[in-house]
Amino acid sequence: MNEVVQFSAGHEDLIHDVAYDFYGKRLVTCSSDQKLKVWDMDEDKGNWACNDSWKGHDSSILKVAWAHPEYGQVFASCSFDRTVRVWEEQDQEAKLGGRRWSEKARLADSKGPVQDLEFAPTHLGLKLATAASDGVLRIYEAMDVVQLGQWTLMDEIEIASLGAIGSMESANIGGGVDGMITRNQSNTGAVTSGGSTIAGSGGGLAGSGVAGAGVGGVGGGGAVTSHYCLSWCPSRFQPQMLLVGCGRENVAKVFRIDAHGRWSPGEQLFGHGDVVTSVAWAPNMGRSYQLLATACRDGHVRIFRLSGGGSGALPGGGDGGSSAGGGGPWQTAGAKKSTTAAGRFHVDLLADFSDHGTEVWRVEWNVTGTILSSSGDDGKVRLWKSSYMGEWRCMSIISAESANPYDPAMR
Amino acid sequence: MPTVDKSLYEAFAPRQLSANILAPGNNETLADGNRTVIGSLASIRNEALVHIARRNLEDSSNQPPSKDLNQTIAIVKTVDAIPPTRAVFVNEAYGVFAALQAAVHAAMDSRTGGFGRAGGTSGHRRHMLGFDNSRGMDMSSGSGGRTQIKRAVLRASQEYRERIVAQFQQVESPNTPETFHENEVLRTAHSALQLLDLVHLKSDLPNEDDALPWDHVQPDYSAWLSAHYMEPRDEEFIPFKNSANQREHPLYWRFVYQTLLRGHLLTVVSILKIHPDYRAYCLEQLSRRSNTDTLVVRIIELVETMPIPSRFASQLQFEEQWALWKEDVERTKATASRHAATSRDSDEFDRMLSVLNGDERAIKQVANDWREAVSGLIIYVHPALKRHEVAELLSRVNVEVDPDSVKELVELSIIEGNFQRAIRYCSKQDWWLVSHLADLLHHIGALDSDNLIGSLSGMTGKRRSQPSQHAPQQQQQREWYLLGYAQDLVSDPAHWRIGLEYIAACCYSTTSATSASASCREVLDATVTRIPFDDSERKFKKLVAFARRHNLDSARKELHRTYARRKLAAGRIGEALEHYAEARDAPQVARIVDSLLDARAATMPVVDVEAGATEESFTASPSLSTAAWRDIAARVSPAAAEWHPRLALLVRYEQFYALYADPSPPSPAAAAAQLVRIINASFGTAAASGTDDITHRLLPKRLIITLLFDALPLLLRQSSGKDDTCLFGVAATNDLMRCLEDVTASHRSREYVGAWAASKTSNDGVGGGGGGGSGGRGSGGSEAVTDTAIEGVLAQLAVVRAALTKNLARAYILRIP
Repeated sequence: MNEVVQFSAGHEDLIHDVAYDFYGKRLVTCSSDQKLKVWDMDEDKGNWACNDSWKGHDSSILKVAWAHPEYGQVFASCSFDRTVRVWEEQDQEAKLGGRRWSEKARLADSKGPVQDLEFAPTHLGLKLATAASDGVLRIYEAMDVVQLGQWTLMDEIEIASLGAIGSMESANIGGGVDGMITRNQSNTGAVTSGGSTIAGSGGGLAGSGVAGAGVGGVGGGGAVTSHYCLSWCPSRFQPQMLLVGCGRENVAKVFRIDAHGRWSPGEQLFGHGDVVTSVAWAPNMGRSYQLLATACRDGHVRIFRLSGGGSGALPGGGDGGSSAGGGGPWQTAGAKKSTTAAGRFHVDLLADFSDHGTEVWRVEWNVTGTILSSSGDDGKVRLWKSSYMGEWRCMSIISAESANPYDPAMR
Repeated sequence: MPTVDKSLYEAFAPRQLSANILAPGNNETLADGNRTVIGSLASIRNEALVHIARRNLEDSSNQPPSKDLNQTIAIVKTVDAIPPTRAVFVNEAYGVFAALQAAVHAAMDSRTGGFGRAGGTSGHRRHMLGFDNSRGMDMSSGSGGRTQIKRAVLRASQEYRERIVAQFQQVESPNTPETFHENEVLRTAHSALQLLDLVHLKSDLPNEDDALPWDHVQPDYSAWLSAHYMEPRDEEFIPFKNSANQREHPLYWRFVYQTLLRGHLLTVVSILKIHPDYRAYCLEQLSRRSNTDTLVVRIIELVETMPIPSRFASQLQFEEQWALWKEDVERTKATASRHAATSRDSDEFDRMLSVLNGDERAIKQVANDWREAVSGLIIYVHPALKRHEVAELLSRVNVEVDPDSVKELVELSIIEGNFQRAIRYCSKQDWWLVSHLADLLHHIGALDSDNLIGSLSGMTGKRRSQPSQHAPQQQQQREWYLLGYAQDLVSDPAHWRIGLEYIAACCYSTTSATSASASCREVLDATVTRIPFDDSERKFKKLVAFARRHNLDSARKELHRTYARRKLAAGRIGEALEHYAEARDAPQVARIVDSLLDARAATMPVVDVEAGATEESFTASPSLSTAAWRDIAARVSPAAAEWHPRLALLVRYEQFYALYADPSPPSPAAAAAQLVRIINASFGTAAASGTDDITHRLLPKRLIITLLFDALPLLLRQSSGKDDTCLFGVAATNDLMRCLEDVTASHRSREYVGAWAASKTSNDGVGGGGGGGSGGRGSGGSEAVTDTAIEGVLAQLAVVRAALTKNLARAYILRIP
């Protein structure tokens, strides 16, 4: 049976992203029309009704992500206008009135379009990671998880290896040695709440050398020349980690927080033939290893396994070697298997699928990390599942096209 | 990458689904229009959301909108929903499942003397049909426990079949494709379970029925064959029976052989008795014209006298009788050639005698399919065949299988004991059967990783190379399948509870490694928090009770925090506090309590410094917010108050306020005593010792200011001469003065005072829509307060200082320690 429920989002331009909430009963859609729309599922009627629609940004809205419901009905959006905005539902406001969702914070630290964002797993508190075309990964934390007005920029992390950022004047940033990535910590200055700047301590970033980032990140015609994406490690038993797709480096990197609370690059997932367009870190579910997935413009979906080591925070900063050129000493997945130093993961390429045949734009795990979805330019969403034997196979192919009524496979 | 045999997998091609958001043939044109397709997976629902999205990250805000604005969002079910007609079956089958798990646990406990699990400790391995029983239930260490478990599994299998039959009656008429499929599924499930019973479960199991002291497969196999492959079919047999000349019916001999091979001996006799030869014989008997014996009569006699195994007390007796009967058959067959001329059906009679004589070639020749052939071999060649020997007969018959018939493929796999293959084929049809079959097999020790590798074609090379990648690392195979079924249930709003119970059953597996159980607990943890409870308190309570029952502490706290946040947003502060306390969320509890005390501070009258403070100016009627915080404080449980010092403070403060609001003696004195107790309990130690310990620091300074202002009317009461005695003694006054100095003498005194002034002037509740936490008030809030306001509060504190000084003098005079 091919059971489908459809509705029209009704944006005035193409949709960029749609995100399910924690329970899968609510959606938010964003579009080039600069609008955000929230949709509620009516379980009895089996349809989706618009909760509210409003202009959320001053430019195309690229991604949306929901926070855990223990922080309320909250989501964040990021846009070409270089801001990230945090929205919260106001129960007292009428639906469809355009004021149901209130902007609680506006995070305007990025020097280029913000391309991806994701809230951290709830055991880490209310944290939000963003990746922007200026090649910087930013991690914010809400100071008051009820008010949501104050967000501290906890970390700014250089995603790209030095020398790979194009025209970014990044060498002066942070003052680290040998690929020291963290620029500054606990910068509470560059946060605005409800449009008004709150003064604070910290700082040290504003105007300190990222002026060229916007130029490097965005092409002259408004097209982004690099593509960054991120995914948090959801495991409660690992130090904070992020998987980041590193734009034109054709690689994804694992960033970990070390014993001193600084973020450092760890393992690299090599083997990509083009830009990594999407990354996804699977929920661990008690497995002794971590599963990571990447989507790539080379038409491949790859599944990696990180095993062994890695359970402790890395000692010290810098962590062994330069990040320049993408050829550092981190573990590579291009090889079948490699041994690692203590505290590092072994990286294995578990599966490499080229079924899409064209660019793949999104990978996403289900809640239990047993099913991976991938979406590509072939107009198909493929669902991959591992058998008990650990073999990954395509279990379903969802085509955007209408079914051919004469094709028995589609009946 | 492991190399696997593709032949099996080709039967498992990916399921093709359609989102129907593009016209046929338009997938290829997507990229040309800078569009692509994006899919997302819903939380616990087996759904995928599919939509058209912009392909490249580019800003098109200043450009005209794209021409082809496909705005359709499609939500596609990736797994067939459980049919509503199956609801009762799902529930009842779970009951059987739960009873089986309990029985197995009881058997394991009794075997281990109640000291936990015994799995994996025995060095003795027992093989059944090539299966190593050292995993799963350790059946070898204690025949009592093994028998008990096997009997429980058999009982469960039979009960499943009863439920299947009941369900089958509901969907018996397959009017729609859905009901047709359901019908197929039920038939497969019933047949698979029945075969499992008759071939494997009953094997080596002492029969509870004393009338059947020795075991053989014949009656059960015939029963299975009749139940699932009824021949002759009524629609053919009834017209045949009613026909005028039955011998001339084209199906006459087919019916004879079918009934003969299936052991329907009475039917065989009845069909033979309508043969013209037998009728002629009867007429001759009536006319007493001849005593000549005919072949058909001899065959009827042989069929009627054939020994039936179940009628014999022992196998030996049966075999003696069988040998005698076989001699009769051989004698008859030897003389059959003499009758060749007397009957036109002499060849058929000869073939019948060959079948009766156990001629395998003749049996295979007349059998319609492998099932009938096996039945013939059992009845006429190996009548005392044991259950586990049935698989050997398959190699002696021509097994032709319809590759599209899942049912038939599953049946063969089960007879062969190739359970992995059976499970794989079942997975093509229905996950209920897969999971429950795996569970039964697990309990009898027929499901483990070694078997798994060996029983998948093309995977034999993996046995040694990757033995550790599976069960020890993740779930056991049983759990793997049960979790699959459970996730289907959980995604269905009608079955989420049973789904959770199935996952929970995986956490308590008797044989799983600790890591495997931990893995299942992680799944349970992740799933239970994803069940949407909306605003249903009932559903929330069910989820919390479930989490509590299974010691899912992390999930339970997450549920409480989520529910508390909803209540907070709805302005139900008391409930929010209650649930945050249940979640042991200390920061949120502190934040709410502080806000409640701020709400109380907001109702405090301002001391008119110029006019001088009087006691009357403090006896304003409690406002609504005052009533609210008092109600909330009254709801704090003793356990919660014991857990969090701030909750204890709230309770004590409420008690103080109750005494404070009552002007008649002895309430004022009691109120003063209570205030001193609060100070001592909350920060008295720190105040007394002068150290800045953590208890002290936990209480914001603005709350100390509130307490000092609370003390003021009691101090003024004394000075106004209403009370003869001094309410605050020397020590208590000293404590209060230390508190005052702690606030006013600090280099951050203006910040502390500003925070108190801010809480008083801008208190707009503690809900999500307004108010502020300790952080907000402590830093940002004070900035909004004017210097005038701060000076005003400092002036009021000066009044407090004056009152305390007077009281100290009075206490010394009255010698009140």
